[in-house]
Amino acid sequence: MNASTSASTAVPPGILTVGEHAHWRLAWLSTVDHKRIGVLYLLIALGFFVVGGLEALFIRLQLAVPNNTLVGPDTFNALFTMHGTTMIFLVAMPALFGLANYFVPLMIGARDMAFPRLNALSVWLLLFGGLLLHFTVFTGPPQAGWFAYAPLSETAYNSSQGVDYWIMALLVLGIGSVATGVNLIATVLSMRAPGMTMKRLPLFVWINFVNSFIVIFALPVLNAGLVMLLMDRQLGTHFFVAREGGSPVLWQHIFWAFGHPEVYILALPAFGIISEVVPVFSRKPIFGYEFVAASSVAIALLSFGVWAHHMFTVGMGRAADTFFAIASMLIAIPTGVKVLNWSATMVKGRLRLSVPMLYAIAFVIQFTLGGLSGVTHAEAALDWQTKNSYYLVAHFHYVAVGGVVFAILAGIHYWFPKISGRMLSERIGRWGFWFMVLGFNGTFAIQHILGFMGMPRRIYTYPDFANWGWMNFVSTVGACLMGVSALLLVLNIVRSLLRGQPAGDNPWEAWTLEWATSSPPPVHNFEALPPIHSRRPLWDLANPQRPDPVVGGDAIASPDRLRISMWSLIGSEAAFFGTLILVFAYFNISPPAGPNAKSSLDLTKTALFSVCLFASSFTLWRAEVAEYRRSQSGMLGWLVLTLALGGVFIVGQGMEYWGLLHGGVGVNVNLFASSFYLLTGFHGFHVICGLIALLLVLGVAARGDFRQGKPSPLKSIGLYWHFVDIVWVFVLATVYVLPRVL
Amino acid sequence: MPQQAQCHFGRRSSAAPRGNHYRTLAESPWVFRETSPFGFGENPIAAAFVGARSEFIVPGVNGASGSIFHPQSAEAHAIAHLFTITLIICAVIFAVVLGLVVYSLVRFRGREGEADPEQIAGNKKVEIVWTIIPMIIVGVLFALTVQAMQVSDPPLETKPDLVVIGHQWWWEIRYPNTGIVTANEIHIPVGKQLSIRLDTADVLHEFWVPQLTRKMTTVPLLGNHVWMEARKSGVYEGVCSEFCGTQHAWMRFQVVAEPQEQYDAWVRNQQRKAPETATVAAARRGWRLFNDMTCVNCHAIQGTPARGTAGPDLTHLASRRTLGSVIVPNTPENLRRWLADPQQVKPGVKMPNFKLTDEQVSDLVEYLGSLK
Amino acid sequence: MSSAQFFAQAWGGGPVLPAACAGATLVYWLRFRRRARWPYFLAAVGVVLLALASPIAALAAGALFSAHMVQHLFLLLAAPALLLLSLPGETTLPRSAGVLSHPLLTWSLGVAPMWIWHVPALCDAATVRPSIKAVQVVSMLAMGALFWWPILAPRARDRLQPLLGVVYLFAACLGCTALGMILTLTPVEVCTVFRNPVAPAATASLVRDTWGVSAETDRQIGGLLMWVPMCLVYVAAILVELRRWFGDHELEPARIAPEVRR
Repeated sequence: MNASTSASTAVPPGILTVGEHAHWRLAWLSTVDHKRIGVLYLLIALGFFVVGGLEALFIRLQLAVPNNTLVGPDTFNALFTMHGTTMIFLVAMPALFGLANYFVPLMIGARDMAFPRLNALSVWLLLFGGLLLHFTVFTGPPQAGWFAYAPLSETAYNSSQGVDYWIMALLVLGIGSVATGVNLIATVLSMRAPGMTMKRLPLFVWINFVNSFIVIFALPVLNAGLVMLLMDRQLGTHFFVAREGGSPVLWQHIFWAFGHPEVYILALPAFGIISEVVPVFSRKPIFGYEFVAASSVAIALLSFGVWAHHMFTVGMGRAADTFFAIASMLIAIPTGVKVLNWSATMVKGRLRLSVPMLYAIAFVIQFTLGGLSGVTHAEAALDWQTKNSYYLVAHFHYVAVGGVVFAILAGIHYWFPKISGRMLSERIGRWGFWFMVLGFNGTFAIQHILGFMGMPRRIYTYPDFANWGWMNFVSTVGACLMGVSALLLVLNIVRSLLRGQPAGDNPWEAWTLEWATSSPPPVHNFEALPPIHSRRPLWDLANPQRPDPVVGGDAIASPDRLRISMWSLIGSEAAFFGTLILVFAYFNISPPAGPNAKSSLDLTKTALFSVCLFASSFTLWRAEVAEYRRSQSGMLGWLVLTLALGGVFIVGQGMEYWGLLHGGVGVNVNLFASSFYLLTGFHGFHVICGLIALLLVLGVAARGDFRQGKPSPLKSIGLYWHFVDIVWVFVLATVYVLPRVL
Repeated sequence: MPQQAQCHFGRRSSAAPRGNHYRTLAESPWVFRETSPFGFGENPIAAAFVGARSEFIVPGVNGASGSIFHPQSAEAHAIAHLFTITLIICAVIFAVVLGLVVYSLVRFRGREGEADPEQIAGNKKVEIVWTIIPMIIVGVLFALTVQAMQVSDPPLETKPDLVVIGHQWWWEIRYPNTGIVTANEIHIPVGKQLSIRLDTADVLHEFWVPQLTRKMTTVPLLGNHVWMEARKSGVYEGVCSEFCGTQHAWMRFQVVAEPQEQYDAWVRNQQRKAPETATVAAARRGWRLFNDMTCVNCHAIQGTPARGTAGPDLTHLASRRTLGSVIVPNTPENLRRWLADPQQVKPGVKMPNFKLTDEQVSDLVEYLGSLK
Repeated sequence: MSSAQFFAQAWGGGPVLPAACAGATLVYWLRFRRRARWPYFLAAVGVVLLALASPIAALAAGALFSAHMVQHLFLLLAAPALLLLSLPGETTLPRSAGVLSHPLLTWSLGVAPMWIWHVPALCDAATVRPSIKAVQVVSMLAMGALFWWPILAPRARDRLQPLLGVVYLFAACLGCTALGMILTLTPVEVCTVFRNPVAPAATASLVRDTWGVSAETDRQIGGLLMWVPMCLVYVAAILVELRRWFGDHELEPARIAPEVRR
C-alpha cells in the first residue's frame, strides 16, 4: 500500500468528499452544508462536554468527603457557575441543534436548511460565544451561578469581569440560537419534499419545529435581561439594585421567563429523539402520534406561563404561589401522556435491544422519575422545603441528564451510522450504557435524600452530619463512573471511524426519509425520494402489502422562506421589545424620584418626528408597489424618501438624547432614565439597522438588478420596517403618552 | 463519647485544619447540652425513605442534620405530611410506567428474523383515559397543596418576634421585644409560634430550618416573613440556601429551642450589658486592644463604646455555641485560631487577617471569653 | 353577615337581566327552532346569569376586584364561546358583518376590552354606574363573540386555518398576560373604588374582615386571574384547534397510496 492510498483511506468516509483532501481545512471551515454544520455542532458540544464534565468531576471530588479542601470556595463557585452555563448553553443546546441541523432537512426530504449561510453563522457564533465564556479563565471566572441572581451578580459583589464576559457570551449564544430557531422554522415550513405535508412530519421534526418557537420567543427575554444587567455593571444603572429603586425580583422574573422555557428547549427535542427511537426498535409506529404531537404544543405553551414556580420562596405572596402551582402542575398532564405513549409503543412490539433503544428505555424510566419529582416542586408548599436543596439538584439532573443527555446519547448511537457510514460497536456501547446508568443513578438518586436531610445546593463543603459523608461519597463514585462511560463513548466513536462495520443505508430498518439515502448522505442529500403518503414512507416501501393509512391530502404549501423567516424574526423581536416595554412600565407606573416621563420628555417634538417615522411606512409601501409595477424610478424615489424620513426620525431622537443629557438626565440618574434609554435606544438601534438594510436595497435597486425575475428582498425588509414602526406606536404610547394621562 | 462510635464513611481520619466541630463539640466548655432524644418522625414511611434510624439523635449535638421528614412544628409538619402523600402517589405512577416497560421487555422481546408485529397506531379511548386520570390526580394534589400552604404559611398579623438579617456570610438575629442582638444562634422558647421578619444587608440569602419552618428568601425592602416554632427542645440546624457568594457554604445557624424557664434565663443573661472593666489583667489588655484597633469599626459590644454593625454583635460572644456561622465550636482554642487568621478558618470571610501577635491574640481571647 | 348568609342572599340582579335573558332565549328559539343546540345556549345564559346575578356580581359591585375579573372572564371568554357553539352548523354572519370578521380586527376587538375597561376612569365608572356597566357587559359579550368567530364559527370555512388559529390564540394569550403581569407585579391601581369599597358595608367587611382579603392581595389575584386562567382557556382552545387539524384527515376514508399499491 503506498502513501497516497493510505492517506486517503485513513480519512473515514463522510468526513471529506473526493477532491477536498487538498483543502480539507477550508472544506469544513467554510462549509454551509447542513450536515457538516450539524457535525460541527456535535463536535463543539463534545468538546465543551469534556470541559463541563471535568468541572462536574471536580465539584463531586470536592464534595466527596466533609470539610474537604481540594478546591477553595471561590474556585468551587466558579466551577459550578461554569458547569451549569457550559452544560446548558454549550453542550445540551448545541448537541440538540446539531442533531436537528443534520436530520431535520433529511427527514423532510430537503436539500439543505432554508438559509445555509445563516446556519453557518449560528454555529460559528456558538463557538465564539463558548470561547468568550471561557476567556474568563484569564479575567477571573464568573461566580454568580448560572442564573446570576442580582444583586450578587452586580459589580458590588462580583467585581471581576467574569460576569461581564458571561453576559456577553450568553448574548452571542442567544443571538445564534434565535438564528437557528428562525432557520428551522423556515426550513420546516418551506423546504419540505412533495408529499411531506405538515401532518406527515416525523415527530422529531414536528417537535423541533414547535421547539423553535420556544427558542425565538424565550431567548430574547434573556437577552433583554442580560443587557440590563450589563448596563447595571458597566453604566451604573440600578435595574436590579433594591436600595436604588431597582428590583432583584425583576431579574428573577426575566431570567425565569426565559429559564423555564429553556428547560423545554432542552427537553422537547429530547422527546423528539425518543419518539423516533422507541418505535423503530419496537417495530411499531408511535402510539398516538397526534397526542404526542399535540402534547408537545401544550408543553411549549404552558412553559411560558409557569416560570414563577422558580420563585416560590422569594415572597411573591400566597395568591401568586397558588396560581403558579396549579399552572405548573398542569404540565405534568401532557408530559405524562407522552411517557405513557412511549411505554404503549413498546407494548405488543418486537423489542430490539440495541444500544439506542437501551438509552431510550432508560430515558423513559429516568425521565419519569425526574418528572414526578418535578410535580413535587410544583406543589408550592413542598418547594418551600426542597427548593435550593440537593433534592432540587437531583430533580433537574434527572431531567437534564437522565432525560436530555440519555436522549442525546440514544440519538447519537441511533444516527451515528448515518452520519459516518460506520456502525458503532454494540459491545463497547453496552458497556458504556451500563456505566452510564449505574453512574448516573448512583450520582443523583442519593441526592434526593441529601436534600431531604437539609443539604443546600452550591455549598463548597459541608459539616460531617450523620450520613452526609457516605452519601456524598457514593454520589462522587457515581460521577466517576459516568466519566468512564464518556471515555467509552469517545473510544467507540474513534474506533468506529477507523475500522467500524459499514452501515449500509438503513441498518436499523427504520422508516423515516433520512434512511432512504446513502450513509453518509451525498452533498445534495437524495438521489431520489420515495413516494410520501404517510408518516412512514419507508415502511410503505418495505411493506407494500400492509402500508400505513394515508394521512391527509398530498397537496403541499411551501410559503416563501424569506417571508417566513422575517415573520419569525419579528415574533422574536416582539418578545424582546415586549420585555423592554414591560420593564419600562414596571419602573414608571409610580414614577421614581427625580426626572420622569412627564417632567423630562417633550411630547410635541417627539410627535413631530414620530409622524416622519409613520410616514416612512407609507412611502416604503409605495416603493413596494412601484417595484411590483416594475417602475425603477418610482421605486428609487420612494426608497430615498423612506430613507430620508427614517433619517429625520433618528436625528430627532438624537436631538432629544442630546437635550436630555445636557439637562442632566444621564442613563444612571434614576430608573426612569435607565429604562427610557434602554427602550428608545434599542428601538433607535433597530431603526438604524433598517436604514442600513434599505440602503443596501437602494444600492442593488439602483443597479437595476431587481427585474430579472428574482424574488425581491424588499417585501421582507418592508415587513421588518413596518414592524419597527409599529413598535414605535407602543413605545410612544407607553413612554410619552400614558405617563401624561395616568 | 457515643457519637464518636458511629463512624461515617468518608470522614477524615486526621484532624482537619479547620477541625470538625461535631466531633469536638461535646468537649466544648461553653456548649449547651440537650439530651432528650427524638423518636421517629411522624411518618414512618417517610422516615424509612430517608433512611433514618430509630435511635435518631438530637441534631446539632450528635451530628444529625435534621430532615424535613422529622418536622417539629405545625408548619413543617404540614409540608412533611403533604410530601408523604405525594411521594406515595408518585410511587404508584412510577410503578405503572415501570411495570409497562418491564412487561414489554419481558413479554415482547424480539427475536432474530421475526416479522414485524401488528402496526397499532394508537387508541383514542386509552389516550383520553390516561389524560383524564392525571388531571384528577393533579386536581387532588392541588387541593392538598392549597391546604398545606395555609398551614405552613399563615399570614402575618402581628409585629415580628424576631428579625433575622442575612449578611455575607453570617446571620444577625434581633429580638425587637427585648432588644437582644445576637448572631448565628436563635434561641426560642419551646411550643411558641414566633413570627420572623427576614431582611438582608447585602445580597439575597435564604432562611431555612428544615425541621421547623419553610424556607424564605431575604429580599431587600420586601419584608418577607416566616412563622417558626419548635415542639420539642433541642438544637436545630439552619442554613442559608440561596447562593450568596464565597462562603455560602458556611452561612449556617442553629436554632436552640429551650423550655420557657431556660429561655427566660438566657434572655436575662443576654440583656446584661458587658462589664465596664474586666477583672483579669489580660482581659483588660484585650479590651484595650479591641478598642484601639479597628475591631470597633465592625463589631458592637453593648455597654462599651464599640458600636460597629458590619460584623456580628459580640456582647455575649462567649455564651454562643459556635464561631464563624457554625464553622467551628466556640472554644478558646478555636477563637485563638480565628483571631490569628480568620481567613485560614473561613477563607474569604470579610474579617481580614490583622496579623496579631500571639500575645495580642491571647489577650483578646481572654477578653472575648469573658463576654458570657 | 356570615359567609353562608351572603352566599344565600346575594342573588338576583334586578328586572332587566332576566328580561334580557328571556328575550334572547325567545329570539334564539324563533330563529333556530329544531336546529337549536340548547345545552350550549342554556350554558351560555347560565354563565351570563352567574356573572351578573350571583354573589360574584354582588362582590364585583365594588367589593372585590378579583370577583370583577371573574366576571370579565365569564363575559368575555366563556359566554361568547358558548354562544357561538350554540349556533347550528350552517349559520353564517350577515354579509354586512363580513368586514368585521377579519381575524386582525376580531383579534384586536377581543383583546381590547380587557385593556380599555381597565383604564382607571372607565373601570371605576363601570363599577359604580349601572348604565356604564350595561355598556360594558354588552360590549364584552359582543367583542368576545367576534373574537371567537374565526375559531368557533359554525361553518368550517369561516374559521381560520387551524395552525393560524393557534397563532391567533397564542397572541391573544400574550395580550392579556402582559396586562395580567402589570396588575400582579406593579403597584398600579386600575380600579380605585376597590381600595375603599363602595359596596354595602356588610359585604365590604365580609371581604376584608371575615375572609381577610386585603386590597393588595385582591388586586394581585385579579391580575393573576387575567394572567393564568385566561391563558389556560386559550391553551385549551389551541388544543381543540390541533385536534381539529389532526382530525381532519380522519373524515376521509383511509385510502391506500396508489404508488404503493402497485
